[in-house]
Amino acid sequence: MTLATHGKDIEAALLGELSGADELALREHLRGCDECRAEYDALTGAERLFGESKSQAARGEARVLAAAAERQRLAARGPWGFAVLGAALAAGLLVMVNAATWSSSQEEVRLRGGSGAAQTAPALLVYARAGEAPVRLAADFPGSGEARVKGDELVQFFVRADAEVRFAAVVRVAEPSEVLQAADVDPQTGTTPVGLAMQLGPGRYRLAVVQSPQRLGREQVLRAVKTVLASGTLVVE
Amino acid sequence: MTLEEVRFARGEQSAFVAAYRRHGQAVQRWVRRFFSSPFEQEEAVQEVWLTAHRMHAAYEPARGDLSVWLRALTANRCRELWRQRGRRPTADVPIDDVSDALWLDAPGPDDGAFAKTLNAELTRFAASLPDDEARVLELSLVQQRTHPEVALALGIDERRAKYLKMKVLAAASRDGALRALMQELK
Repeated sequence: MTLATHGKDIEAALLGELSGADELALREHLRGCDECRAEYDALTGAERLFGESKSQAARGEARVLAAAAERQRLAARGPWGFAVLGAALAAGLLVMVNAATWSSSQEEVRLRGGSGAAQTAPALLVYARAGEAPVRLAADFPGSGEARVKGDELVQFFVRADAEVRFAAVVRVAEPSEVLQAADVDPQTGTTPVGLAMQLGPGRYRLAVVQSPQRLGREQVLRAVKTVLASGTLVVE
Repeated sequence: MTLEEVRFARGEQSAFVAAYRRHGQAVQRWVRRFFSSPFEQEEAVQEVWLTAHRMHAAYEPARGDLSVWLRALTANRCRELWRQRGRRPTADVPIDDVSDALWLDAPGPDDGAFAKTLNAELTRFAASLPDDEARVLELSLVQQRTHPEVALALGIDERRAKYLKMKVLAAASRDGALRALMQELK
């Protein structure tokens, strides 16, 4: 294959009109074809004289993030089967807590636990910071078991959700239970934003994460949590 | 040490995306010191980020900024790519360094002069173009407007706006003085 057959692809790439798959194919070709690479370099080089274009930046970002996501996906193929996840999503609601046990009920589908979970498995991360001290990771549930923070530390929650989940809430399971944070899950990253820093009063906090394919109201979240037997605990000293 | 850096070190995907958005341009600038071909630069940038993605656990937030770690990683990865391709370092690249590749952030000796020459040559080139192409150059390449915006501004259809943009780029890529500047662009 020569420049005659790939010239249009190069133009389409520069105009930001190639699909991801077509761009990958073009790049594979460019690695081995001096003539096409020279043409690509000449046109891209000319474009760069005017400064990096938005479309160049977007193409670069898409390439890097797609490659990183693919690597992440391959690395994450772990002990958690996607068939189970599919069944759970079909039920419409997932509840994840830091418990190393399984439970079942009409609404709640499964609990996850164990420290061997892959990094993309659902997790609740708790960051803590006192004053100007560096931020520290206080807990990574379900792996952390019982974790501790000090009473003068500000706490922030961060949820890494399952695939296809669009909403996650962090709940203190108690009588009555309390929603500490509720947020949309970024479909690209599968995570919530890091929550607002909050100071928790002294006590033991049994924490649960409620996940759902759609946004839930406070009452819906609390109803879901009632079915959960949570055992993981954050102790505020 | 920031929360994002802690999360990056833990291998969290959202922190990786945030790091890319924060440091992407810097990595690109550093890579240009090693490779002049745009295609090779793009490949190297991707390699650097994939290495960062794989080696996130090697980054220790307590020991320094993520940007410092990325700069050293960029220098090492680019040298490896050179070696893989049987290349020798160019004169302005140290063979090795022990200061976290600090030299990558130092301005080149001719940066100011280069910018001045580039400006003059781009002005000359723009003046040599027919009116419609000069307008497309201004709107599409300088102002970074989208194709529909360019089409709307010039009263032409989008397809013609794209055609004119490619025509301008092709003319620039054949211009002797601009080609020489492309080689020097770091």
